[in-house]
Amino acid sequence: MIYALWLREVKKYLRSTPRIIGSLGMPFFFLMVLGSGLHAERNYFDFIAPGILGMSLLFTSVFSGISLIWDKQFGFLREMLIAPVPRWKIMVGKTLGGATCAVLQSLLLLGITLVAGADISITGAVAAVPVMFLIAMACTAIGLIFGIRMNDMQAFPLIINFVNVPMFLLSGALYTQQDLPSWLFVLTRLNPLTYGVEAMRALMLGEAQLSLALCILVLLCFSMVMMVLGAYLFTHEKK
Amino acid sequence: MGLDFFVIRLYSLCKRFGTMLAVDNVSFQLAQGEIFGLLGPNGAGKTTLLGMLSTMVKPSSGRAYVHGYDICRHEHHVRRQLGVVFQDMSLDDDLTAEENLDFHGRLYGMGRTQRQQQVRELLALVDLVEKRTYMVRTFSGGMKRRLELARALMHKPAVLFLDEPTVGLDPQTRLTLWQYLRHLNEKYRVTIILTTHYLDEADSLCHRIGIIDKGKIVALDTPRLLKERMGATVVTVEGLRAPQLLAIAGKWGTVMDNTVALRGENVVMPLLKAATRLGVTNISISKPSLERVFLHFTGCHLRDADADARDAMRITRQVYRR
Repeated sequence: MIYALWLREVKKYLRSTPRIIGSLGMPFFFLMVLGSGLHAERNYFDFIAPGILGMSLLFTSVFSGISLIWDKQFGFLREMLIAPVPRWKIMVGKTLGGATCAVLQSLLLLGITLVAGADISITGAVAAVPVMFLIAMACTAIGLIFGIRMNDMQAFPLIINFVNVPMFLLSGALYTQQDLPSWLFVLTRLNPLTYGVEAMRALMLGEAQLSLALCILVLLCFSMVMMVLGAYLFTHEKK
Repeated sequence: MGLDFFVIRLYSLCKRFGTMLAVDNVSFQLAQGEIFGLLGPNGAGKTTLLGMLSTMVKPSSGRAYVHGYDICRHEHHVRRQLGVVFQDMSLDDDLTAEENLDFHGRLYGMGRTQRQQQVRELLALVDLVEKRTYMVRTFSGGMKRRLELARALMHKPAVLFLDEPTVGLDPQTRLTLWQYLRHLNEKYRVTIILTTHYLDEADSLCHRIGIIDKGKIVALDTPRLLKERMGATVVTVEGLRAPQLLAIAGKWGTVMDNTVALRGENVVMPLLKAATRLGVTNISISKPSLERVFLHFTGCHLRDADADARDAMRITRQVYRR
């Protein structure tokens, strides 16, 4: 049953070429303009590549929460709710589906990054896929949690920006964590995405400021908490 | 006849929202293979009643069983026995007809071969075989309805719930849908409960009709017996002298608007004589309609204006979706 829900999300994603291309746009420009324009450090392009991947994962995942509002608006949610399936399974299926789409999307971006000449180890990139999936799972769950409570399809992207933008900017995707003002340092360390970005750096570039084990532990815990929270809220949502 | 014969059993089912009794002490039984029509003005409690039977709404008190399963204690067993066609479209527009059915089959835990077999059979039943690989977004309203019907039957439910299945469809499509419903009722012996705003629909499709008003079942019988209860003959009079005639007619039957339902055939002649004496020229005789039954029990027309407005909204939304 979870597989059915996962399959639906992935199928719909793969069919939507505009969505795939559209989601590539922003990270692509960030990567190209910032990566080439800022020469503070020699290998800044390499440095931000995992950061931009994190951005792509974050935005695509959180945004996929809109699929729940979509299902509500178009009545499909009732088809799922009336089936003999516990609600938490619906939530888990949708989370895994949305996360898979976000990972596929980011792999596409990774391909572009490699073509553009980033010095990223291929084996490291392969090893980073599970990390990417953890990030995507947590972020999809966040998006769905917003989707549970909201009904307004137009407001969703606007509201979600309050999550996306701070999470991205405070993730260390664009800057190193040395010599930060202390408030920024604290916020960065509190941001779960920081650990995702650092884990990808560790694997892809072979150097990072945080230990890989710590990063994976934080990601694992965070994504589980978000999933459970989403399943809980969805189960106890009226209607 | 044991109790097992009844696929649906309700005992004093109640639903209270705050101080409002949405469903008030409803009891009835439905036999296997029966087509049952639930009629009532908007807000009478039809949707709440169906909601409880489909385990989406918790009853405040009372009991109900679907295929022998308690709706409160065996939710998932009940759901497995139910096929539901919702009032508003609930298909995934971005999947094909086939995929919509397949998804449903998976949700209900059906195996691969069984799914494929059911998809084939049901698409044939609703004449959508050639359209099976088309995206649902390209379908007309009637085609979507048929697909929803097929989907509701995917997991071979014992009972089918149809919440205003023909709202927003053109008359021809409605007639076709009725044929499908009759056909599958005969073929699969599936019990059908439908709510509708169209009295002709209830009259032509349903074996029995329950009229619900303010949460209570106020009448429950076959359409024929319900109508006969209104009187044998209905006489409609028009013209200036009509009020005087209707005053006289009150002795022989029940008056409503410019019609009178006569209690027996034997009073038709005296009424016609009285009409001639008063100089009433326009008079017609007919059989009682379900509309009259409905009016009698609920004191209101099926709030047609209301229904039309809602239909219009729904159609607008469908257009917007494409």
